Amino acid sequence: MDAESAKLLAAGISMGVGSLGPALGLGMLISKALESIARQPEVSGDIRTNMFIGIGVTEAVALYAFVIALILIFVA
Amino acid sequence: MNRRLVLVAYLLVGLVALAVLAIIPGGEREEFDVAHEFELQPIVELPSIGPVDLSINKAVVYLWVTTAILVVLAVVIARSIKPVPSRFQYMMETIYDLARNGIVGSVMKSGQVTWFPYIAGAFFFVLVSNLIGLVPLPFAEHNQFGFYAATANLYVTLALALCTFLFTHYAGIRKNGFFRYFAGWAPSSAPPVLRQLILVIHAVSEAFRLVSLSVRLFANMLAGHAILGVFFAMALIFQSYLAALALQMGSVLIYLFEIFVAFIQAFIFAILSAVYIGGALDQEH
Amino acid sequence: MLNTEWGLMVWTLITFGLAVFVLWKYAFGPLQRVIDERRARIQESMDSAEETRAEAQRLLDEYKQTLAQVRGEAEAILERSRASGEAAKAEILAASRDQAERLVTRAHEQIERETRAAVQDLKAQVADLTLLATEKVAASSLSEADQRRLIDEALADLDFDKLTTESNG
Repeated sequence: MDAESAKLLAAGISMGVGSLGPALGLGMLISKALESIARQPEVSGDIRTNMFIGIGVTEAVALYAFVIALILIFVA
Repeated sequence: MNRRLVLVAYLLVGLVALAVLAIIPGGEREEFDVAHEFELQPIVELPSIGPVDLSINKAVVYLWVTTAILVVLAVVIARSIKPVPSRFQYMMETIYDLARNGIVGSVMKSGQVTWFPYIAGAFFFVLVSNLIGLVPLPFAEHNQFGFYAATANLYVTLALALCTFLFTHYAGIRKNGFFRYFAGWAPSSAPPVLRQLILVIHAVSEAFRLVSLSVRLFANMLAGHAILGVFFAMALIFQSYLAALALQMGSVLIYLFEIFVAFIQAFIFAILSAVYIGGALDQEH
Repeated sequence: MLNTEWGLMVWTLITFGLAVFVLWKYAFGPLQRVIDERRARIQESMDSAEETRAEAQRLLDEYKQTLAQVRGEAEAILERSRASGEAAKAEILAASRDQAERLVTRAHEQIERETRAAVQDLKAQVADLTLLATEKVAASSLSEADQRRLIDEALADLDFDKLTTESNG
């Protein structure tokens, strides 16, 4: 395997594997948040705000993988 | 009976149209590189001061467009403000209220009045910047219309995150005093060795906040624009009108999702700024 | 390569700072002011509505109280008039009964008196008639004294008391 195809393969793997964890995490996070909202609709505003903070933090992990993939393709 | 005939006729015409689209050859195959869309070429060359090259490029133009829109909005609001709001003013008030109570009010415990202008300003700046990234503007190569967003550039978001980073520590130091602020990074009840370790870990996490804040925004906008670009470009690559039709339909959905993402990312950027600054103001001991 | 990025960061800071400054100076202040004003006005109108409501409630209470008072007074007046009417009735009744009694008593007395007078009269006449008759029958066979004694004896046998009682009854 030459270096170029190795890079592309690595980029694909990093994106695929790297988005697996955040996808599961986002699913859990949002399902729990919706559960909480269903249980206590009166604090839905607070829960939603914190859910978005959590989404932002969780999603960042997938984006690190995305950046690594970009670096592998275009920079390395 | 008549109706059914009309329906069948429509179906036939549609199928024939699809078949024709599938059969006739597409346009010339064009090379398309998504990364090319995000390359910056200077539009107006300006002399560089030391290592700082102040040439105007696409990203700078987008930044100026963002600022111009915000300035126009601000001036219009300041001119036309009335006790009984018009629709426009009501919309602005709603977004303002979101920034005031949804972001600053719900996250920060103290310093709301002091830091509200910065956080709301960041919210509006990022929001407008993200949204005009979804409007085709004639700043692509050879003045073609193209999609670009200032926030899809890491250095722009890094500068924005740097502002939040600096303001966070400035706020913490001003409120708590220099030494007490840094001492507050670790719980004072911890044993000394552990405490130093916690201090180091906290310092690293502070640096990573800078990275994550900038990279999150940048990568979200870049990924959205890249996917849009790929969808538009695949029509050229497949050389088929049928594929082009399907892809354009898909790109509409992605476009709608990107509007949502543009809003959410601005919201997250502002709310995390508020969380960081609020955390520096009210340290847990 | 590095040059461009520094420049972009500087541009970002400039435009961002300008945007924040303009928004702060021109948009946020007036917006906040107009929202605060509206909130104050709503608060004010709510307060005044509350005041009006309290006032209305107070008036209503007052009216209710007055009404109750007036009703009580009317009842009292009615009661009083009823009582006085009752008293007047009782008085009149008593007076009339009194008068009737008095009349009856007087009538009785008169009857008795007249009966007694009649009886007396009758006694005298009987005595005189008896004397006359005896005189005619016996002429002077008897002395005046014997006659008188005989009359008295005969009169004693007659029961005038019974007559009196009968007329009485």
